[in-house]
Amino acid sequence: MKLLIVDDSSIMRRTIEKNLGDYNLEIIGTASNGNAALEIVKEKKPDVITLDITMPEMDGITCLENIMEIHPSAKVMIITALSDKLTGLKALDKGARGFMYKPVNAEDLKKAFDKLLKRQE
Amino acid sequence: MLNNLKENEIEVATKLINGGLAMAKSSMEQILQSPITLKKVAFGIDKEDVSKFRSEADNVSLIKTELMGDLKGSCFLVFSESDVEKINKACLPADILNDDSPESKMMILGFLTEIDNMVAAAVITEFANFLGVDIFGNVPSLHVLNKNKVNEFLANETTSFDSVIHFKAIFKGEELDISPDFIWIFNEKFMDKIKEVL
Repeated sequence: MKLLIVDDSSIMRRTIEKNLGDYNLEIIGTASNGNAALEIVKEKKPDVITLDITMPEMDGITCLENIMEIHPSAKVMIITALSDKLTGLKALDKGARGFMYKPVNAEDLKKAFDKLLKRQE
Repeated sequence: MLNNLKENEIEVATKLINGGLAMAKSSMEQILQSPITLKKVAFGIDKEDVSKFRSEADNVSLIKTELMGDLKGSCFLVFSESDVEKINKACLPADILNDDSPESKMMILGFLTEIDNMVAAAVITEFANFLGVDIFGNVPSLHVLNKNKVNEFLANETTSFDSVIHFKAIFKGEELDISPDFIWIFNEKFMDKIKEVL
C-alpha cells in the first residue's frame, strides 16, 4: 500500500515515517502543505494519507475536501494538535477515516494504524 | 468595557484560563518527555502590561500563533537561547543536531514552532470546547529577537485591539532546566463569550 505523509513540520514527517517502518507501506512521498499534497495525490494515488490540519498555503481540512474529490478511496488519518470537538467532527464529516492528536507517540500511532488498516482489509 | 467585569465573569474566565494552561502544561510534558510546572500565572486588562517582558538572555526565540475564527487574539511562546539549546539536546536525535545541512537546520528551527503549535492548540481546544466557538491557530511563526525588541514586538501586537484581556504564565522544567514564557492576548469578545455561557 502506498502512503503519503502531509505535515508542515519536518520533524513530524520524520517521526511518522520512522514509526510506520514496520508496516507494509511504501512511502511514496511527503508534503509540507496542502497544495503540494494534492499534486502527489493526483499523480500517485496513495492508498493511505496522514494529514496535518494547521499548514501554510492550504490547511488540512481544505486539502481533505480536495482529496476526497479527486481520490475518494484514499484512507485519510488526520494527525493534528487541534483536538476540539468541532475540528474532529469537521474532519470526519469531510471523509477522514481516523483522527489522532499531537504529540503522537509510537504506540498510539501504531494502534491507530492497526485500526485504520484493518478497516481497509 | 473590560473594567466593568462582574466577579462571576472573572471567576469563570480564570477557571477557563487555568484549565487551558493545565492542558498546555500537559502537552509540553508529553513533547519534552519531562515534568513541567506552571509558575506565575497572571491575568490583566491593561494593554501596557503585555509588554513588560523581561529576559536575562540576550536573544530569545519568540513563536507567535495568531488565533483565527470566532475569537481574535494571539499567543506567544518565548524561549531563551539556553532553553532552545537544552530542548534541542534533550529532544532531537544527534544525527540532526550534528548535521550542518540546511535541511537539518530547518528541522531544528521547525521543532520550536511544532512545540508552540501543540501547546497553543491545547489551550485553543479547551477554549473552543468550553465556549462552543470555532477557533483555531494559524501557522506559527518564529521570530528570533534581541531581548530589547521583545516588548516593542508585543506592544505592536495589541495595537489592532481596542481593549485586551491577557494572561501570562511561565513553564518551569523540573528536570530540564528551562523556563519559557507563554503570553496570550484576546480582544474583548473573549469576555463576551464568557458572558454568553454564564
